[in-house]
Amino acid sequence: MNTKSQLLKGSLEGCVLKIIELKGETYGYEIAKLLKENGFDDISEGTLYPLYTRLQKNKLIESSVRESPLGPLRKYYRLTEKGYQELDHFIYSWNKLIQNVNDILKGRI
Amino acid sequence: MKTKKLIKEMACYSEKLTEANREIFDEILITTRFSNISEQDAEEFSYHCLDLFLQAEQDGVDIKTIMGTDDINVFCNDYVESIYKSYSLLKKAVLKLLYVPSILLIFTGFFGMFLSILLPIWIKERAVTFDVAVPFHLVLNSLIAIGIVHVALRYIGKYSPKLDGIAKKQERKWDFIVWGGYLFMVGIFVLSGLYLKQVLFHINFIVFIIVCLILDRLFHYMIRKIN
Repeated sequence: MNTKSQLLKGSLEGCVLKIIELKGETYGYEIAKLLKENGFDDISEGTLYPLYTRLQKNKLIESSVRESPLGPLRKYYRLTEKGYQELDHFIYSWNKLIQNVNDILKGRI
Repeated sequence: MKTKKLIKEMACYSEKLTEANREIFDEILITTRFSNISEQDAEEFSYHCLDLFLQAEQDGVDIKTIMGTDDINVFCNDYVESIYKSYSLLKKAVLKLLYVPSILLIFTGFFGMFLSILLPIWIKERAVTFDVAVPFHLVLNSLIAIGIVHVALRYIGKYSPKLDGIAKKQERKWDFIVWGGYLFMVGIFVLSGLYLKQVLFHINFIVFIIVCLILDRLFHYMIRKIN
């Protein structure tokens, strides 16, 4: 796996939480589409679906099942209170990481 | 949603997919169904994929773009491996033992005990007994049957999509392997039946069946309840 893929995978959970927050309530296809449109081209659904399961298990998101316009029932995800807190924590950690890495890369050490 | 309902709905809605996409979807179904994860997890993932594929078709998007890879095995393994890793040790152990009670019921109980031992006694001695003298070959053959089913379930999903549309020569090779394996097993069963007749222990047939049924229900219950 190349460096870009590893970096993307490391930040995937936070990005999924942010997408769900932005949409209020969303589903697998929409999340995958938005991720692909924003640089996560080689993220497979086989990676994403276990992530939703894990986020639900950790009570960061919750789901409700409703009929989709195409027929089959569809899981819609939304953030829980704990999910919002986790997202804030991720944004804080991410910004701190960017700042630290930039400082090192720009020689400000 | 219950597994049976998922399967029923998938059979219905997968008809809406184009032929090419339905083939990909069927491969996903087989690969996940014969993987080492629970039936519920396998069907939920396939159901999720079906929803994705239907939506992608409607939007005119190639489903391989949505999958993120051309390789169905890679696609399914991503999911299977990460779900399997999330299971507790107990769940992994129960998954390995899940089909053992059914094999014991059908192979050992019905064929080995009822048809081969009890029924001949009932007919010959005109007496109904449920006491079974378990010979060495029955224990050995039951263990072999468990092994065969385990290997078959593990590899059917892996190889069956690859065998679809293979060349005649390859097809003959696989026919030879399957028939060779089958004859070899029958040979072992016959020879062990002739030479390994020592009785190891006695067991009541009714008790054996009840224990197998209880274990079967218990394992299926545990798979649903434990993480």
